[in-house]
Amino acid sequence: MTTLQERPYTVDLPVPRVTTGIADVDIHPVPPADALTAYLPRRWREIVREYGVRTTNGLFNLGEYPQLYGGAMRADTWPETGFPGSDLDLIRKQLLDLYDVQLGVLQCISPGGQALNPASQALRPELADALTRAVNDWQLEHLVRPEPRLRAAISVAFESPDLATAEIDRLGSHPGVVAVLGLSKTRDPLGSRRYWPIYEAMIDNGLPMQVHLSQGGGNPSTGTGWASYHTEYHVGQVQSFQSQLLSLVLSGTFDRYPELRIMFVEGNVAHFVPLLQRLDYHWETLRSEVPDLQRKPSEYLADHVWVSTQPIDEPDKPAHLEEYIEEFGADNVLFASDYPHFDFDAPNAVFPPSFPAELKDKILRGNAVRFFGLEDGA
Amino acid sequence: MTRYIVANATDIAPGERKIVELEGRSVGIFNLDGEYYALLNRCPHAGAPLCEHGTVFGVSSAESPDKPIDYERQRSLRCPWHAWEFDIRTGVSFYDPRNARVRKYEVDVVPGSPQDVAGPDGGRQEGPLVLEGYAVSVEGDVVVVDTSRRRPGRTREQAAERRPAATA
Repeated sequence: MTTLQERPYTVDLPVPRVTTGIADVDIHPVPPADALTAYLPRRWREIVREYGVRTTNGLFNLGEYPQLYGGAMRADTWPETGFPGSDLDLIRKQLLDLYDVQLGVLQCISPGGQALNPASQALRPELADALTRAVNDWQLEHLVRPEPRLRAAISVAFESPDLATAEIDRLGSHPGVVAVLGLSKTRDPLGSRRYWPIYEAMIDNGLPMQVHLSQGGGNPSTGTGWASYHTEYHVGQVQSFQSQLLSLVLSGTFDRYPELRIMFVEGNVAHFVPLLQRLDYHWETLRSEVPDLQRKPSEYLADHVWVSTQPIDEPDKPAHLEEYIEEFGADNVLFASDYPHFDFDAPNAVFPPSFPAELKDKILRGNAVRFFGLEDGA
Repeated sequence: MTRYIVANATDIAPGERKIVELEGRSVGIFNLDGEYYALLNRCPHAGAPLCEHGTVFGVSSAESPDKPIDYERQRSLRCPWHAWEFDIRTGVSFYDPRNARVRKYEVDVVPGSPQDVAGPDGGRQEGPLVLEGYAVSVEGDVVVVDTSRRRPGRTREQAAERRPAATA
């Protein structure tokens, strides 16, 4: 096994430039069967084969809510063999070429083939570490290297920050890496000090974090328990994004790390607006609880918090979508397709005809420049 | 009226479908236990290939909680993206019947032979297969899709009459 650690970066990848095409911040690759084997030390290969990988959901092929038929995949993305997202040629044909994606960010959340069971959530920390390293080495070698329009948001053993920071330091300067993959459901809220070393390592390496919708973490999927219905989960999962945002703001994490950039992926846009208004109001009246907070809560958004569009809000009056986005912050919303999942958004169909061209341009390309720290492609 | 032969009846077995191109549009023809339905292969929501990759499901409903659930099999076509569902017989959306509708085409099974060719003045368009002009010898049934408009289009004058008068 040759790990990237042992190999100097011979890949000469240019900094991604998003000029005439678009950036898509949410693409889910799946390692083909046995693809990770070559990247796992023998000890962990045997553990996985003989015992499986345990997460708080149970074994890693189980979800914590009733799954939609067809694995919640877009029905036209199944390759001849294997899972959707496992065939690079199909990713090119159905996404990169079709929509002129110049920067597509990979978020691998499925070591076992099932969505939303990230390697990083393996309960045994050393196994989480081995699996996330294997996922990262595999995607850099088999996806990013042959297809440089794709770049990786790397997985890390999120609940063991010492292991996570080591992986960020191992790969942080690799040109194929543009972000760290975070999770919407973590053991503690993201403002907790146990995660601060992860943020320090990200900043040292100049990387932002994409906090993607997830299961796991050990907490129920809603604020009052477990979802009985797929629909209940699918709609209600944004509760965890809301809690993460409140925690990050109120803990002063953004004051401690002025360069911290976090994007919530697959958590919608609209619902954050009234949440932040409410937070501002109660911060005004209860500010003695957090007197060291340096700014009004909503003021952190412009510098620290981004969101992605998918699954796009579809109000009855199309003009309201523009209002939602403007109210959240027109400079802090990026396009996401969620390929190959069933609720995929196509960049040419997702905006209503009345949507302003300038705002669309920001979401599809311009806003990626600041979030990823790219050179301005203009 | 433009009718295209799209297949031999035996080409589309019960439970199967065929995608053809008619007048530049992709159309899906379904055989549900001998009943044929045809819809435009494009979802009005986000443009997905509705017929090519959609799944045929039944439709369930109940008058109220705990009442018996009525189930009508093979009634709904569910889009491969976002799971919007349409009545496979009419193309009307179950979710948003007023605003989302898939174009529906009439389908017939008529006697014919795919080996025959149309007369030059036959008034029928050539499709993937060609309808015979006289149906003299019937060697098998063919599936025919009608692409004519279900409602006649308005003339420019009629459309102008319907527009509200410009106000000063």
